Order: sequence, then structure tokens, then C-alpha cells
Amino acid sequence: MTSTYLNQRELKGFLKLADVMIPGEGDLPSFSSTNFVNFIDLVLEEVNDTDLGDLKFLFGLLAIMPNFLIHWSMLFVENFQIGPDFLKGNLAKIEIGLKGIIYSLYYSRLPDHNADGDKIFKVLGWETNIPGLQKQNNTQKEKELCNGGERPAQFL
Amino acid sequence: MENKIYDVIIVGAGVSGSFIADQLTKEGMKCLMLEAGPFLDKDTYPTHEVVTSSKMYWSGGIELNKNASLAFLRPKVVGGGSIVNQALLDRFDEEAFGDWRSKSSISYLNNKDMASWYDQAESKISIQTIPENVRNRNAKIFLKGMEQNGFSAKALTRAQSGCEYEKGNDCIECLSGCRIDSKQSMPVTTLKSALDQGLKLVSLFEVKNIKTSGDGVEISGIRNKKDVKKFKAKKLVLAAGAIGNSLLLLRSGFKDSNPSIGENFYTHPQYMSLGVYKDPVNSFKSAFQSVKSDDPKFRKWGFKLENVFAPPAGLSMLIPGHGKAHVGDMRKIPYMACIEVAVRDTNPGKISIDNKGRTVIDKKLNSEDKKRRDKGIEIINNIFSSTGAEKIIKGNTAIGLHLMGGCVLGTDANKSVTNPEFNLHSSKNVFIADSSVFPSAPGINPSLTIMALSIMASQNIISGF
Ligand SMILES: Cc1cc2nc3c(=O)[nH]c(=O)nc-3n(C[C@H](O)[C@H](O)[C@H](O)COP(=O)(O)OP(=O)(O)OC[C@H]3O[C@@H](n4cnc5c(N)ncnc54)[C@H](O)[C@@H]3O)c2cc1C
Repeated sequence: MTSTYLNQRELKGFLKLADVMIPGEGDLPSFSSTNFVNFIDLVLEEVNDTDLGDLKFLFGLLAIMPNFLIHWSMLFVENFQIGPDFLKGNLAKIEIGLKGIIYSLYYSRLPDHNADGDKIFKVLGWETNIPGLQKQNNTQKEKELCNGGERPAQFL
Repeated sequence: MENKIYDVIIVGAGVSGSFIADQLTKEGMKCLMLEAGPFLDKDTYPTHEVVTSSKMYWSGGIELNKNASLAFLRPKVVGGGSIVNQALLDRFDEEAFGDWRSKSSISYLNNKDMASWYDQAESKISIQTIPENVRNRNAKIFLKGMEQNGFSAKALTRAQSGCEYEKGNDCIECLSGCRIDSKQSMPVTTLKSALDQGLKLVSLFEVKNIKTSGDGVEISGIRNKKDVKKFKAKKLVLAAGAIGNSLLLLRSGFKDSNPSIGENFYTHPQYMSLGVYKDPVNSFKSAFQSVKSDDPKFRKWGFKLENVFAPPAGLSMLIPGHGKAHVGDMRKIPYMACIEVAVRDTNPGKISIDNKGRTVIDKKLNSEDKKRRDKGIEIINNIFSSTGAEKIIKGNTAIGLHLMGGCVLGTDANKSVTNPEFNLHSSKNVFIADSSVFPSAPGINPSLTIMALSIMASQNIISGF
């Protein structure tokens, strides 16, 4: 488990939160029992420096928080309705930001050692096809393409 | 700095940029197009949603308004919105143009004068009406519910050339780019012809600054997050979209000479609801969006209903909560139908930058907008209830996909940014004709009108040479 942006403690905090969000149930694996954390840099490399600093601080904090407190905090963030606009806004930003990272890694059919991505899609009943095309499953290639490994800048 | 002086530099390879590039290069003009996103194609579009959102949209997927009540999806890829959008095309009606005329005082904004520009835009792409026989159960539920509640609906018209649903194609996949080149995205239509006609395109190039002088423009930016480069041209076309254009002009110090930059920002805020049924709905199969509301009452009430769906990661953001309850709802995806209300918003927002240079989007719903939203949601609930939904899930996140305004058209330089000839009020060398020039929210899909305005603006650019 490595990341260019998060240290081991921050990764531990991230995984604790991710398991509160996706604890695993029946035939659906918990977040931490998959290898999706290995793809976290896909998302983090697009986050600006200020937000990344905030995320690192938060994950570091979560690493030492008990799970029940993380769960309560999430409930608080999700249900906070009263209070000043700026506080509501900041809590909503935290909720959307954290869910965005965790859910998009879990529900993207990413390839991992156990083919968990495929399993999850099967359990969800998500079956889409374009029969004439082969299913691609080369996330590293996709990432490279989007980060400049694609066609050369034309005519420069 | 490259020594060459181009005739025109175009910032943004989206809908407007591509249409303009096609027109200008056809006349033999030497054009350079600069685009911040990657240049992908049918063989390289992402197949994992997290890659799509993090690499084909700005800011890693979504941008939020100040109080995080609205999430904006802003494409960042060669082809812009035409790669990831649903490609639904509609001409504006007199209601939309009437509002534009009253806000801008521009008389050509009417159906009659715009007709020939629409004709030209439509001739550049293949447009098809989605046939009845490919409607999935999501569409059938929508149609039945609309009928039972006394409202009319009709088939959608889409920029596509042959989706071959009968072969079993599930077109929700094309929200990450169409892998069979049926969707009429810019790289297979106008951008393709512009490239064939000699357009130079640099992808992964984020323009950071614009300088204008009497005889031309100088553009600087960063390629691939590391190499700083500068280019010069006689004229500049800003086609970076509503947020992109506003930010570029603000960061380049144009606010003093154009006080309205960033003002009048609209988004058609969209609220999705999910109806959960006893039997499978499989909303993700076949043509995942094929019908729409077509009721004159909705136009009067200021919203439209769309019969949509989203891939799993997108749905996970709509479904409220976390933990086992959230997973429990995710398991019901095959049993879900989905309808969204898109509000024709009346309350203008504002795009600005804070003292650290960060983007700030101040956009709220006023009481009229909330009334429109709530009326739409009430009708959606009635549609679901009358068609046997066992549970209704109100979407957690409101989204803005139609990002419009910020550099609006008008005759008054104090209230608008772009003049009727599509020039920045303060510079004859800068042209804008993309979604940022919309004076208000039309309540109708914007792309076709962006195409028409872009062709119109191109004629002005060409005649100035
Ligand atoms: C999911 C989705 C579905 C949609 N469905 C529909 C639909 O069905 N029908 C419809 O009419 N509309 C739809 N839209 C909206 C439509 O796609 C947009 O209105 C349209 O693309 C706007 O065109 P544009 O030329 O103004 O900007 P865009 O097409 O967004 O292009 C702007 C380009 O400029 C680039 N850019 C921005 N800043 C810079 C910079 N500083 N340097 C270099 N490049 C820059 C961006 O990366 C982008 O590629 C949808 C949008 C989304 C996101």
C-alpha cells in the first residue's frame, strides 16, 4: 500500500474511514479487503495543494480515532442542517469530497488482485455491453493516456 | 516563445472552439488551438468511472459552489462537453430568445434570424430521433407516469450517427466518450475537419494568461503541468466555457475594463430522484435516455423533466448516507428508475477569484428557483407513485451540467462582456461565442445554440481579416 501523496499513517486513516463508509456486507467486500487503495493517487494527483493538505491532516486524525466516532462524525456531517451557511457549506464539501474519493474508487470496476471490481459489479447487477468491442481493463494505460502519454502535441 | 504569429489562437477544444476552428481553417486561416485536457479517441476513452471523472473533468471531477449545494461538472478533454455529454440537441424557442433580447438588447436573437445559423450547424453533424423500439423500462415508466398525470412527452433528438442498439449496445457507456464513434463529438465532426484543414492543436496545455495589444494577442500557459510556453496571434477566440473564460479573463486582469466578467452565471440545476420498483428496470440498458417531457405547462412553470440514469459511482454520490444502508440501496440499482428535474434558473450566480487565486462560485437558488425545483420534484414523485414504485430516493447532490454566462452578450459594456459582434467590449482582437455568452438560462439544451452562435461569430472573425 503506497501513495506519492499520503504516508502510511494517513493511508491507515483513509482506510478506516473507507471501511466505515463501505463495511462489507454479504457478498460485497469491505473497502479495505480490496486493493483499490492502490489507485488513490489517480484522484489525489488532481486535488489542489490546499485541499490535499486538509485531506492529509484529516486522514492523519482519523488514524487515531475509534471507528464508532468516525461513524458518528459522518452521521453528523451528513445530517447537519442548521447553523451558519459557511459551516454547512464546509461540512457539505467534506462529505462530498470524502465520498467522492471512496465511492468512485470502489464503484469503478478497477482491476485488483481478487477481481473485486468485477465481483462488485456482478453483485450490483450492473451489466453493460458494447458487444463489438473487447472490454478494456488497463487502468495504468488509461492513466498514462490522460497524463500526457497519448498522442504527441501536434506540430510543436 | 514561438516566433510564429498565428492568424487566430483558439483557447478550448470544446463545442464552440471546434466549430469556429472548422470555419476559419476552411478559409485557409492559420489557427492554433490550445486545450487543457487530453486528446483521446474511441480506442482510448476510459473504461473506469474514476478515471473519467478525475482525468476528463476539471478539479478531479467536480467543482462546488460556495455553500456546496451545487456540484458543477466541467469537462476537460479535447472535444470538451461533446465527449461526455448526452448530445441532446434542441433549437431555442421564442420564449428563450425573447428573454435574451430583453437582457442583451440584441435584435438578431430571434428564431427567424437564427434559423439559417441553426441550419448550418445541423448540417455539420448527424442528428437522429431515438426510435420507439429501443426504449428501456426506465423510459416506459416515465412515459406511463407522465400520461397518468396528464402531461405530454416525446422522443429525444440526439447528435448520433448509428448507435446500433439492436446489436445490444448499452449507450450509458458513452458518458466516458463514445467507443463506436456514433456520438457526434467534435473529434469526429468539426474538429476532425479543422485538423484536416491544417489546424494545429496542442492538448494538455492550460492557458494561464492573456495579453492584448493594438496589433494582436500573446498567450502563455503550461503544457503537461511542467513546460511554460508562449504563443502570439493576430486574434484570439476564447472558447474555454463559462467558468474557463471567466477565470482566464479575471486572472489576466480584464475586470477593470470589463466589469461584468463572471456575472450572470446560470447552470440549469438538476435534481435527480430514483424510484425503486419490485421488478427489474435495468435503466442502464440500451438507449439509456430516449424520451423527455414536452408539456407546455412545464415550460411555463420553469423546468423540464428528463429521464436519465448514471453509472455506479455517480449513483453512489446521489444515494444518501453511508455504511450498510448505503450499500443496501446500491444493491437495488437494477430495480431503479430515474427522473431529474432541470430548473430554468432565474437567479444569476457569480464567478470570481479569491485573494489566493482560487475559484469562487457564488450560485444560489432564489425562492422562484426553489418553487420550480419543488414543483418538478412533486411531479416526479407522482410519476413514481402512480407507476408502482415501492420507494423513492431523493438524490443527495444537485448538479450543474449546463454552465452558461459569465461573459454575456449585450450592447451595454457595463452590463455585458461580449458585444453583438462577439468581441470583448474592451478588445477588437478577442472573440467569444461559447456558453459563456448566454445572457440567461434558456431552459433548453444549450449545445445546438452554441454551435449556431459559433458559426455566426466565425463570419465576423473572417470578415475582419
Ligand atoms: C454530463 C454532461 C451532459 C450534458 N448533456 C448535454 C446535452 O445532452 N445537450 C446539450 O446541449 N448540452 C449538454 N451538456 C452541456 C454541453 O456539453 C455544454 O453546454 C457545451 O459543451 C459547452 O460548450 P463550450 O464550447 O462552451 O465549452 P466546452 O465544450 O465545455 O469546452 C470548453 C473547453 O475549454 C477547455 N478549457 C477551459 N479552460 C481552459 C484553459 N485555461 N486552457 C485551455 N483549455 C481550457 C476545457 O478543458 C474544455 O475542453 C452536458 C454537459 C455534461 C457535462
